[in-house]
Amino acid sequence: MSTIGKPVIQGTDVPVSSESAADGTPAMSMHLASSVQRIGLDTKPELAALMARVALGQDRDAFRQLFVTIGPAVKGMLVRQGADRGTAEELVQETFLTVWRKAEQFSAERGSATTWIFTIARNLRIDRLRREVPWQELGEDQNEQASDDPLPDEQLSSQQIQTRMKAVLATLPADQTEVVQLAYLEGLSHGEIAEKLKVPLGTVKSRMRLAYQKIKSSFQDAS
Amino acid sequence: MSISHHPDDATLMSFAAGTLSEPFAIVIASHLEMCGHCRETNRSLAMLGGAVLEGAAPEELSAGAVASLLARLDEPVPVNGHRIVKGQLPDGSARGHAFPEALTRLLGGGLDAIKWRHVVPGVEDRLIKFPNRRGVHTLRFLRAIPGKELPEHAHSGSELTLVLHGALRDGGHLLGPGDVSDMDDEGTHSPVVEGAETCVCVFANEGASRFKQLKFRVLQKLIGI
Ligand SMILES: [Zn+2]
Repeated sequence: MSTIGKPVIQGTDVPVSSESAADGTPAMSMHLASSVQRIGLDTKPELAALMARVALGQDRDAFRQLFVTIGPAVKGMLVRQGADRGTAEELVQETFLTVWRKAEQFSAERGSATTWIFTIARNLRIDRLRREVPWQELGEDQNEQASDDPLPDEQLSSQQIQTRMKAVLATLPADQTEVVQLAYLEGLSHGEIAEKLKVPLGTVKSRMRLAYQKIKSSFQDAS
Repeated sequence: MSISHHPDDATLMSFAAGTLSEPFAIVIASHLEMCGHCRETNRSLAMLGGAVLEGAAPEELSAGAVASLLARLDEPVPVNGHRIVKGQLPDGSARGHAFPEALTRLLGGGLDAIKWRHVVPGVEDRLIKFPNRRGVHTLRFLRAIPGKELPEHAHSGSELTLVLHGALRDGGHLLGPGDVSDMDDEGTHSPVVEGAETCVCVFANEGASRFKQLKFRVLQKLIGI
């Protein structure tokens, strides 16, 4: 993997995440934007600890708790993306089977459990959609493995990153939160979002850019 | 010479959210393999996905969900027969980048696995169609000799270009290996191969019909504006 290209967060040593920066840090109380329903993660068992027990010890009890804790949110997301309940249920099962099978690839230093689970569910959904139309298989999904990129020496803990990410999400203006939600939770493309909101494509894109800029600068400010 | 042209952050966000169509996702995945800058952005944006997921309205799992999941843990893991062939770029190999695995998976090999089709003297291409629920999106590989002007066309949808080898001048921008041009649905352009090397690039497009409108100019164009 080339090292060409500077980290996007210049002037800071904050790793704004890794593909799977560690964990869900439910201990922190965070307030997501009003359009997002909270699921009270702050009272739920520590996802990070559960994931660690699954990854390191193949702990079935921890795995069960992980499933019960975050599985309903995964199913909720899939339903919002248009899956019928049967398909959603099936994809949730497949997602967690993948979590179990690939658990040893999960690294708490590099990523968050929820980010990793999100990515796995996302890839399974993409595979499923792909099967709706005939064409060739693409093979192994590429984005589930933790990045090999070295992380900066000084860094926020992945728990702090996750906490801050949720805090930033909570402070985004409503129109930016909306496009983020429509993309990540409902799985809509730029064009579909533009249609749904009846705004020009460029507006959708600029809201997304602004949302990312805000995330980026919030991590910069933090350093 | 490092990568200086990156995809739009909005495109990267859609990649992280999983909403790009296949050809666009393949181009982005390829760029990410070559670009540390965008890998960082992608990590942030994936992290945002985790944060959004935590806030997702839950949907109750079915009654037997836990039991049936636990019962499946000992199932044998399906073997993925996919074989990854590490491709290589031709000589002068693109800033030391290996040929992107995202493209290797698609082609079953590196650039030498592409079955080129003659278009006009000095220009060859290879078109792969990806039907999806929004229509047909395409991935087109293009190989052209120095000084050759690539098809001029008006956009009917987004277009994402990734240079794999050589250099391309697109409007005011000089794109080298790993560089991306992320075009909106507006505008017309006609990139030109620059420098002494053959240029290989790949374009993701919305809509296949647009290729019928392409007009190749056989004229060589003077370089530099
Ligand atoms: Zn980049």
